[in-house]
Amino acid sequence: MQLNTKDAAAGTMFIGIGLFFAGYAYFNLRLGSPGAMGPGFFPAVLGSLLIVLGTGVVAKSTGVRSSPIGRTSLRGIAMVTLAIIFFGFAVRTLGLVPALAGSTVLAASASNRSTFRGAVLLTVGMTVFCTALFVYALGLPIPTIGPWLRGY
Amino acid sequence: MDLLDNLTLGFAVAVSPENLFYCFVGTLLGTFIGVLPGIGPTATIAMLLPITYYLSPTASLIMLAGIYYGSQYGGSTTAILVNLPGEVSSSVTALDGYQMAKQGRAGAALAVAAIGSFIAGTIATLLIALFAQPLASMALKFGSPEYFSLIVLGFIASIALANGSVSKALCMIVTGMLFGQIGTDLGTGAYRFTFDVIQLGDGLTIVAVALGIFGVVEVLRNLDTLHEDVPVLAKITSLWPTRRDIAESSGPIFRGTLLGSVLGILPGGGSILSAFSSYALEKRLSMHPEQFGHGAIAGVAGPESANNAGAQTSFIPMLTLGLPSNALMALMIGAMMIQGIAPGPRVMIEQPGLFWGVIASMWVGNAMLVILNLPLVGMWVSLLRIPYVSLFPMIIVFSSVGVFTVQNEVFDVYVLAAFGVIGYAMQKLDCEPAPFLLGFVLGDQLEDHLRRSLSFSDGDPTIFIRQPISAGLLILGAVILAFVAVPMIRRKREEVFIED
Repeated sequence: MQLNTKDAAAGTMFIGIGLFFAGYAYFNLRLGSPGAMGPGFFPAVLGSLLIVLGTGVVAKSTGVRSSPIGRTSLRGIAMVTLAIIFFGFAVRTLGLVPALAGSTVLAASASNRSTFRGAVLLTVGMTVFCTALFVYALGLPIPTIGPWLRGY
Repeated sequence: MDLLDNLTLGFAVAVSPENLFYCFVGTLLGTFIGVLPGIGPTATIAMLLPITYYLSPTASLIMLAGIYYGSQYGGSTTAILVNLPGEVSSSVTALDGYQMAKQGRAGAALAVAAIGSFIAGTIATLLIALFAQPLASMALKFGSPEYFSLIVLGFIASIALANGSVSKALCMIVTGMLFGQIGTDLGTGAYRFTFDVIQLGDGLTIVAVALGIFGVVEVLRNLDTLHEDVPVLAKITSLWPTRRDIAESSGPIFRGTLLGSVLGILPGGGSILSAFSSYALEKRLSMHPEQFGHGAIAGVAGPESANNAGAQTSFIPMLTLGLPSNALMALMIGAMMIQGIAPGPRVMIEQPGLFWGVIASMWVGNAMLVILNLPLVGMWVSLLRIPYVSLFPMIIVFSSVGVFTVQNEVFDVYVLAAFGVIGYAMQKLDCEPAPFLLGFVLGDQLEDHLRRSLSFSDGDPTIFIRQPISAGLLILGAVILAFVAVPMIRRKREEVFIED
């Protein structure tokens, strides 16, 4: 039996999501009645609907071959996600400037085509531009150097 | 005449120095990202949403609108000159436009594209002005059951008109709605799915979600397939089309405008659908269909007019009814909400300056774009030399900062990262992100109208069918769904045949 693996996976994922939301709503929220919907009513309905639809997707995935999933650059995903997370972590602790610099360096290293010189230029450029735009032009109250680096 | 008064007000607002400036910024930026492949108007608008907080509501909408229809102009420039469509809606333009360029007729192609776009933009602006009032007054008579059915119809139509699996798109809409439920239930004040995380009290920030599944995912997908093609530039001889070119283009321009205007209003419609449909239409109507794909000017004139008309008329449901017809419009609604304006039919009454100003500015923007695009063509093409390697870190970092500034909240940045990963996984499994965003934005509204309708009818679900307008909308939705389901069954049978 052939399986469209992409669709089968997607369908299973949808069933899982539906189960999660419907289950949580059923056990933790008041459902109420149709005439007086409680907070859990709509999520429970939607979750159940998703379970049904997801099952349908899985059912349709049988008997058909799927197209290939294509190249996945793990380095790309990892570094980009790391870049964003680093920014979130650093902006309040290290300050805006280190956060921007670190984030740009991490993002640039997501591609094996980046050059060292290019990355440095990009980092300086982005840091200057974003600081100028957000702190000076728009006046946002973000400390450029954060508490960790100020020594107190 | 009312229409004249409104348009006068609109133009007065549109040409104020502040609004003119932001119109220029928007169209310039739009052309810029339209030229660059790998970044589109949706992600750009999501990135600029935090900044619109500092602008007046009118200026924000004018600028964001300028980015959208500006990107339609920019995309065609590179499609014609280097066979690299900057926007999906320009991919059809590349088919014949690039061939024309190789034949030395690049100038004519560019001119026809720009002129067609301008004519389409003008007519579309007029159509918006004409239909806004009647539509809004009709919508004011809508009650909760009608709104509920309208949103359901919108969901169905947006799936049916898109390509890709209908059932998966339906799943994405429901998933989007479920994620939109996270936060506080406005009807009862209860916390839902927040797991005692304070930052989830107001739900997931739409800018973070939108930027994650559109902006970050686009970068991740491009990183998978980075290829450095040195674009081969076609030479531009003269900018003027011949008389024959003009004769052959006028029909397509007119038809493209009409088609785009209609398709743009429909949920799920907009520039992409309009462009593709126009190409198919022109090919079918042409007396020389074999020329298509080899430099038929109708293949440039029609789609270019259609994509512009589609981009503009897709504002109508958003401005008059408060309902987004696609993901981009959903972000525009986000921009209005940032300004504290609740989108809907009342906007026209309570903020006529904003409403008519935005409409009038579309025409002003189109005029600016013709000037920006034609003489400065060379400059735009040289932008293509910016390697994506340098561009994408800027997108990532700028998105991170932007998301942070919305609420000065670190959590939002983590949400951005999360949805980048989630969105990427979804796309790898061939699940469309746009229905997700639509569900995410409209889910709470749908629940609200359902709750009100059912409480009004004491739990009786037939209220949606007893009220005539609501019934009509639902029947229309069922018909559209049937239309899409039947060919699918047929196709499935064909597939099985082929497997055997």
